[in-house]
Amino acid sequence: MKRRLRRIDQWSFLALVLLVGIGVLVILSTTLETPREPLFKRHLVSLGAGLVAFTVMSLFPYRYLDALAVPLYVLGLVGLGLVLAIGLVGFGAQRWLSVGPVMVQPAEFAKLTTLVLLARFLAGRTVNPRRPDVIARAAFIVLVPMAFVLKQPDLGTALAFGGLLVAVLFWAGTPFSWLLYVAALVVTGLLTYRLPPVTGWSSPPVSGSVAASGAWLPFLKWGAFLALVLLVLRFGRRRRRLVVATLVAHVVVGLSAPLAWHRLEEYQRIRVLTFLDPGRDPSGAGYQVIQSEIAIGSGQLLGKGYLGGTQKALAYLPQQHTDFVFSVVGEEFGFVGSLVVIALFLLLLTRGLRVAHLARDRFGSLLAAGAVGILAYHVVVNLFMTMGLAPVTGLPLPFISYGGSFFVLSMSLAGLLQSIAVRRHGY
Amino acid sequence: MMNPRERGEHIQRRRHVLTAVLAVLFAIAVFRLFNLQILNGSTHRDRSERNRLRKEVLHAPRGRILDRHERVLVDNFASFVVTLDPYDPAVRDRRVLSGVVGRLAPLIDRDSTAMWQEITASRRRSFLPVRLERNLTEPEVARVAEAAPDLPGVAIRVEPVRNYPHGTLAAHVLGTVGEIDPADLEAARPLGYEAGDVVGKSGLEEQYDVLLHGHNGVRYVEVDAFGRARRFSTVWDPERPVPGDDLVLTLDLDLQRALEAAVDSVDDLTSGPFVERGRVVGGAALLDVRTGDLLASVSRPAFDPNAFAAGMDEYTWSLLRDDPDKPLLNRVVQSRYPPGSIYKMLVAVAAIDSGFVQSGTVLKPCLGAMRYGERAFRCWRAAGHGALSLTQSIEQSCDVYFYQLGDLLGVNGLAHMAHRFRIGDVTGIDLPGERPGLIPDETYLTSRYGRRGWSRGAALNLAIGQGELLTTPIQLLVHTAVLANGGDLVTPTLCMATRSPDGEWNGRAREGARPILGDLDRTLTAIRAMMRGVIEAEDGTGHNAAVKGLTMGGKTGTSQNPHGADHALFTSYVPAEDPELALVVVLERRGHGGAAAAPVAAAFWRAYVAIRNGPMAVAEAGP
Repeated sequence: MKRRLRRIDQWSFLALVLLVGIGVLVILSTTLETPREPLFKRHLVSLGAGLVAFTVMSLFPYRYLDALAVPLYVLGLVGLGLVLAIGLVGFGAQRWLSVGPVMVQPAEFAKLTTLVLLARFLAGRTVNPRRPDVIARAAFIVLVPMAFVLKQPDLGTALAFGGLLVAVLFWAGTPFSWLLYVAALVVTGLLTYRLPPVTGWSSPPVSGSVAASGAWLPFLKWGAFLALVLLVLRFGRRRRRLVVATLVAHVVVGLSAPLAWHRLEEYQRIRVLTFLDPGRDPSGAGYQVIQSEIAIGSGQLLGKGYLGGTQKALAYLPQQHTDFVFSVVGEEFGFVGSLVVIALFLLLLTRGLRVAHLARDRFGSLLAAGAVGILAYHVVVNLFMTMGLAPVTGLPLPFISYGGSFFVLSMSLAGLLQSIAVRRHGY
Repeated sequence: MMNPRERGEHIQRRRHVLTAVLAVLFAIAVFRLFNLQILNGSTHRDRSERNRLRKEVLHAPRGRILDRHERVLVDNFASFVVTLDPYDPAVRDRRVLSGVVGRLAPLIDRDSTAMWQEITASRRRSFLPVRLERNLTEPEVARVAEAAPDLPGVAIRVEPVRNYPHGTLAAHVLGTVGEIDPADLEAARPLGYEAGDVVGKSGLEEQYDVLLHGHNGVRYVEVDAFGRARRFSTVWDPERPVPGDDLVLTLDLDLQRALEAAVDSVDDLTSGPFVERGRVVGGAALLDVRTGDLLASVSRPAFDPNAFAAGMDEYTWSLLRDDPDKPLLNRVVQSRYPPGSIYKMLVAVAAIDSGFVQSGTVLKPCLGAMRYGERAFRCWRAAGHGALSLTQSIEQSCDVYFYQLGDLLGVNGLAHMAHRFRIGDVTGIDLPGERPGLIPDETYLTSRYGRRGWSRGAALNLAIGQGELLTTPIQLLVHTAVLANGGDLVTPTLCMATRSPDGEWNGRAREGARPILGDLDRTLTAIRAMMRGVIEAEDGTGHNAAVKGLTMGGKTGTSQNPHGADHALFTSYVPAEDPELALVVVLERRGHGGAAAAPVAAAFWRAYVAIRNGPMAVAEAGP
């Protein structure tokens, strides 16, 4: 036991302790003398739950997760299904399940269970992560819970599953070019989603109006992009079958993106559009981002001092204890404090990659890489969102944001990393 | 696949790639931070401290409430409201804040301690500015505006305030509004409600709040260091509030006025000892028996909903709350009375249906009382009615005749017919808080008093509408409608249609008349003849209700009140041949139905004839 304890990854443990400590201070700051006061006590409760989760996960021999992977995954799906069936409604979406006095977000739990099954699948001896059918099956494992989450609807969390998939596939050995093909498909989607949806092959897209108002420009852009992709493939001397498959895939995406867009919830569309043009939604997300930028910027070099934030003290900063908690860090601790927090995250994540590298088996290695992927996705998207670099997708900041389920998930992932670290030389 | 060394190198390469990706992403974040905090830091500091953007909620005006001819019953007026934002940085220091409160209080003629308490309470509830006073007069507005530099955090805004131009008219039906309860807010948020919203608290305002409420807008104001609005933001477009839908009621303003006047004139219409006079306590309502449209509804004592809209002070509230006559209660749907002799039609239907009697059947004569076991059951007329047929017993409301029917039918026989008429059930009227009645059967009596705690004699009391029986006035009104229209159950309805701000009409889905007594058609025809006799026969108890130019059927009722004088009840419908409208009147502690309630009904029906025939004719009861 003692020897094991000495083998924990000390640097990432230190970063974790400091981040959680900073989180408690900031949550206290946002709740002091406000109507949010009772939230601080609740945060202390989730803190306790998170510590328990961290301890249990780091002590648990992770190889047993291999046997538990399928039941856990099914349990995660059941939780997500229950949310849709009987879940509580909040902020226009169903995300919570109430278990006795506790409100649980099964989507956070599902991130962990999906990771475990994905790692187990790709750790298989005969599984070759370069084969398209393997990639498709891996994607299927992730897409099922992702679809549930999208249905809730929670865009940000659903995209986190995508981040998980990319990280684990890459770590497993899927060639980078494959990921580039997927990226190219995403670009096609972005170029085409605003086009009028084509519902049948025979019916032309909203006759007349398209050609008349110069709306053919997006078609032109998309065509140019497709030509570029084909040129690259041609000069890369790829096989003809691949070229044809790519072309077909792009056409399918190009036609289905507008359909998907029209099926999105209103608020999700507004969020995406607001990102592209922040001035269009003064009351909602755009306002949040502007106020967040003002808060961070006004912190200047050293910040306004702990408890000294003025933006924070007002209602100007909505969700400052949850998704926008970093803007309070920026306001009260300034550039220096923000750098410290960012450095701590970088330390934690790179040490996590080290754990993945040194893991004693492929399963542990993939688990660690996935854990880093989930955490990194949340950190980067959340930081970018509060600074106005990414759309407001509603993702919390690991270890710092208020929010029980996500805090417990983050601590579990940190615990999982330690579990893999201490067992790197054997069980 | 790969040998272990190859795999090691492969993983190492991937680790480096991912580290590089993370480094690049974090470098972008750091660069952005540098840009925000160092390069543009002073600009942002400036914006955060001196030139801040304040988000102001523009409260949507509630939809209006109109009568069936689209005459205004409820609308809004613009009112000056003074607010204080306790989260304004300028007043973050408690001493500064208390100084502001101290200076503001005399300007708007208020007590500073009370104001301070209100601010502290509200500060723990929401981030919104606190509304300190509504309906500011112009001099008050001028005084506050003048002192504005010394009053950081204080603002004067124009807000829509609910207005009830007819004061107490139909107050219980229209209902009241007030600021949303923080406890309700969480559940209401997904529906577009926000803290500080004015919402319906009772009556139609509550029932149709989702339609009336509308959608709030927002406006952005740039504010200076003193908390004074400098100008509307040019960067952010305001979002206009969308008013709520208008509600068009089935209520008819003229008939409502006439019914209120009739109820209020009860002192002038009646005389007699042993009854209370003065303050009127009771309810009355008018129903279209074919459709269920409620045309008028009165409850007494009344209150003025304007007092709620303006924000009620503790004293006024305590007066209303502690009044023993409970003015806030809508007696038409929320008070329960024994129906008294109004119940006799139902008993007669049951007796005819069971084959015990027919219209002409004469039972044992009434000698003023009837001995049953150990007890003597008395008729209201001590002198007795003599030998009567069923028709005469209804007309003269002879109790002894109905004691005998009660004995024949038994407790469950009576309850069975009551359930067929749905008389104890909630009527489904579109008002909150409607209470069901109580129709006791043998199971109920046993559970209440024990197997030996009650005797068959209970059926005698129930047969004259006393005992444990309880009904609301609206249930009696629907019961009258069912008798009058030949056995069709109607659902009383107040809201006829809604109109969106764009002028789009929406009819309210309503339940049509449902036949519930199809096989009793002939019996009901006979009953209506008897009810006509109540008004027109020489000895009819309802002759006080007779009105020239109208044929009418009706029934008086007197409901025993253990706490004082009896309650007077009267129900009627017109015209007798092909009934259209039904009216029920319930007056608490006013004695005999024929003496107190019937004259009130007559006063209303006279006004109704005048309105129908008058030059300002409200031609037909129907749009």
